[in-house]
Amino acid sequence: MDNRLDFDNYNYQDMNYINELLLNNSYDNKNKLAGPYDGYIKGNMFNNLYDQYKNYKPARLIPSSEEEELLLNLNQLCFAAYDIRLYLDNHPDDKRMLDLFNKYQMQAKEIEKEYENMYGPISMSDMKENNQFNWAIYNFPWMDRGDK
Amino acid sequence: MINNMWQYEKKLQYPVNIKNKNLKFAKQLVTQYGGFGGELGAALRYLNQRYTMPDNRGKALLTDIGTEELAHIEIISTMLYQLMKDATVEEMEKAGLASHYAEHKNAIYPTDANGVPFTVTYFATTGDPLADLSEDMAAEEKARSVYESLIDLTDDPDILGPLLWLRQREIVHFARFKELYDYYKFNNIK
Repeated sequence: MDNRLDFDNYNYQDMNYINELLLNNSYDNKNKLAGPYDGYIKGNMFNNLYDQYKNYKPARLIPSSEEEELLLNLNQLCFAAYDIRLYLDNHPDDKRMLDLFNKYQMQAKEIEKEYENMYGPISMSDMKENNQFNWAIYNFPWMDRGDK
Repeated sequence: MINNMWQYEKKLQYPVNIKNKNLKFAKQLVTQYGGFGGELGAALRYLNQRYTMPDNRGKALLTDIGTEELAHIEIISTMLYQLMKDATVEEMEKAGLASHYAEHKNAIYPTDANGVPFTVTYFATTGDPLADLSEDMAAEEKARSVYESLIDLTDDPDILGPLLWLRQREIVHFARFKELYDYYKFNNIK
């Protein structure tokens, strides 16, 4: 477990890093970025854009297995990088946000490798070189409740 | 990465794990797949409009958001599949899904909440970036509004989680489309 990201602790460390990064940033200083876990459960990395519906809080995603925990760590980093990428499409010269994008992207790649080693390929091109065609063996993401 | 095509990823952008069958809600939710504000229309709208965006930042944004909408189709479809899974004919009939059963059994099919099949006339491409981006902003707002109605119609936390999350994505997309619209308008880029 200790080689994995603890998503609560990770989140706080990361927010400090980002807040530091955002000093003198072209991105509005008042509007800090969320950390990857916080941003992921909200569906929005940009606190200034976040819009809560009525009294609904985002669902707190609590993993119930080691696989789910690893997948959550992967998903939150993928999402953080992706949401920043949409920002970068419109602001391609924002170097600090580009650094952050690269950082999340790199962390996501590492975790993806770890996940695939244990639970099978996420994409066809990530299949391991061995004699087993494991793409069609592992479950598809919509499967649940005893699907085979 | 060895691949020369658009690539499927065997995971959802946001997790879906619906434990309780709910056919009535499936009948309403399907509109976010194949209705006027649905994810299918959104994906096709942006992926078609991007070719005639005036610069590469516009092409990038519409490609990226159009691709994300494909991932949202997968989320909605997963929800529909899990909500309808193992439903019997009697249960489908009771929930007002007899006509769905007649044509599709328990399969997924893009319609609106009244069973009207998806139509490409839900979106336009005008070749005019300001007109297209205005449509895109309106589309995100309409989808947000429908997500809010759907949130009002359920108290199942397994359903609320993904709906709140998808609603928030509409808000982010709206903001990005507006930024691009303002950039083109201000700089007179056509």
